[in-house]
This record gives sequence, structure tokens and C-alpha cells, in this order.
Amino acid sequence: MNRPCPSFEPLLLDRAAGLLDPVGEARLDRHLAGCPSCRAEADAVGLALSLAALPPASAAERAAVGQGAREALLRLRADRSRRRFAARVLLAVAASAAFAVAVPWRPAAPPGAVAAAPAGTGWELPDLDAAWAASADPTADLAALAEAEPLVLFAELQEIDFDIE
Amino acid sequence: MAGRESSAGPGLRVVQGGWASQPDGALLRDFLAGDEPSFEELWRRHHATVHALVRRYARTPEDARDLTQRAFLRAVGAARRAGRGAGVDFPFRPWLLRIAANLGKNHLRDEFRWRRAPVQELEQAADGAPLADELLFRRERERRVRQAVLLLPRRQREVLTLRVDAGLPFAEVATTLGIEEGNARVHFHHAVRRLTELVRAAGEGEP
Repeated sequence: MNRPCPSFEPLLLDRAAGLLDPVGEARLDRHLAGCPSCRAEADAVGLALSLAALPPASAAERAAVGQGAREALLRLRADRSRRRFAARVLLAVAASAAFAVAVPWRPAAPPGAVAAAPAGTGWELPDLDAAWAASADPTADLAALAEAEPLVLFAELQEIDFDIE
Repeated sequence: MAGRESSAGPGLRVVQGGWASQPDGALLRDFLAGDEPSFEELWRRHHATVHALVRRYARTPEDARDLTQRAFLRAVGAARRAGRGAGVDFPFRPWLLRIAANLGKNHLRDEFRWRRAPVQELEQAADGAPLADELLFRRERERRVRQAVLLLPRRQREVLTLRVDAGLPFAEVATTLGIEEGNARVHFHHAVRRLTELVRAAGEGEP
């Protein structure tokens, strides 16, 4: 295979790129008329570019793309909403973290401790014996329960068919 | 439209000079300030070029449509985050096209398009009849060359697709990629040489 003439190969490529002016075109054409190697190269370059080029988009495809501005705007709006939501979540997390740092956790005091403890002193164990004596007689509730009317009378219980085998 | 509109009553806006006189940077700035028609104008100006560019990397027309939208979304979002929407001189188009090219390449990497496109599809015409040998050979060569385009070194691929697919002049190709115009031409020449070698080698088996 013969190589193209070194001085004309750049012109062949420039023509393929659409860069040749009319003077260059005329000069190249004159050369190609008498140089089979450069003619073959010119044909190969033209063929390579024609094979590489994509077929034009159909009218329907062009129209569909052309009408995509509104759809793109919707996507932009959705994207903006997502970013705002993410920013709010981030802000809430940051606020929670700041609150947790600013207000350190303290264990809750047991019931009654606050009232029993004089102001300005720490929490002390309450007097459990005194608390027990101060409460009502614990057996009183049981006695009252025993005397209460039962929810279901014994006679009623006998009428119920339990149907247990 | 900051500085270019006058209030003519509630809900009515008068734009002096119309959209055509607004540079991209001004439209982007206005959109970021909440003016959605500015985005529609940016879309009208550039969607066809972006679509032509991302089609190279898309498996289906729906993919290409989605990539076009995503390129705009990314470009606007990145401009907002970078705080670069404020300047009227902001070069939105090169920014957008560079994002589209990167997005396309990433999409391709994720999709493994050429592995998903079974060769059998090439052997059947739309009606299910086998393709003629010559047409089948042409299709196979197209597939190989287009695959080779995607496997070109990054700069060569970017220059070639911006020139061939998007149809940009070399000056704009260079601006988009942030390189010298002469450098862009050199990358284009290298890319075409590679593809030509491939075609020449594959042509030896031509029926």
C-alpha cells in the first residue's frame, strides 16, 4: 500500500475537517488528479468519517428533545425540593446536636425527693419506716375485697354450660 | 430580567430587546434568580447541539433525550453551586458542552453500550429479512468505526465529536475544551488517521 505524499497529507486532513480554503482545495484537486496514492488516502479518509458520523436524528426525535424544556424544569424543581428537604433535615439534626451539647443530661430524682430535700442540699434517702407507718393499714384493702359482692354468683356458675370434655 | 425589564402591571413583564439580545450569562443569572422563561430560552438555543453531542454515547433515543436534559440540569446546578451564575459574561455554552461530553462518556461507561448491542441485531432488517451482504458489511464497518471513536484517547474523541457530531468550528471546539485551536486541529488529525487506518485494515475483507 502506497502512503500519501507527506506534503499533501495535511491538506487531505484539513479538507476532511472542513478547513481548506478555495485556494487550498484547488491545489489539492490538481494534485489528486495525478497521484493515485493521495486519491486512495482521500477516499479512505472520507470513508472513515462517513462511517464514524451518526445518521441524523429523526424529526420525531428532534421534536421530542425540543419539547423537553418543561420536563427539565420539572426535574430542576424536584431537585430543588430535594435539596431544601435535605437542608432542613440537616438543620434539624444540627439543632438537636447543639441542644444536646448545651443542655447536659442529669438523672431524674425519685418521687418525693424534691419535696423532702431542703433547698440547697443534695438528695437523701427517705425514711422508709416512717413512710410505711404513715400509709393506711395494708390488710384493710384485702378485708374489704373479701366482703365485696362477687361478680358472678355461685348459682349462676352452675347454670353455665362449660361444655368441657 | 434584572435591569432590563419594566413593570407594566401585576403579572405582566416587558422585556426590552427580547430574548435574542440577552447573552447566555444573563439568562442563566435570571434563571438562578427564579425566572423560568430564561431557562427555556437557554434550552431553545443549545438543546440541539447538546443532543447531537450526546447521541454518540446513547443506546436509545430516550437515553439521548434524558442525557440532554441531564446535561442542562448539571450545568445549571454546577453553576449555582459554584456561584458562577452571577456574571453576565459567564460562558454557559462551553460549560454546558463540556458537561454534556463528560456525562455522555460516563453514561457509556455505566451502560457498556457496545456489549449490550448484540451483533445479531445488525443481521436482521426491520422486517426480519436478512440484510444484503453489502449492507451488512457496511453496517458492521460502521459499528466498528463508531466503537473506535469511543475508544479514542480522550482529547481526540472530544475534538472529533465536537467537530463531527456537534458541528462546532475549531475555534469553538478549542474554547469548549480550554485548549489552543491549533492543538484541537492536531487532535482531530490524529483521530482521523486512526480511524482511517482501521477502515483501511477492515476494507481488506470487503466483499
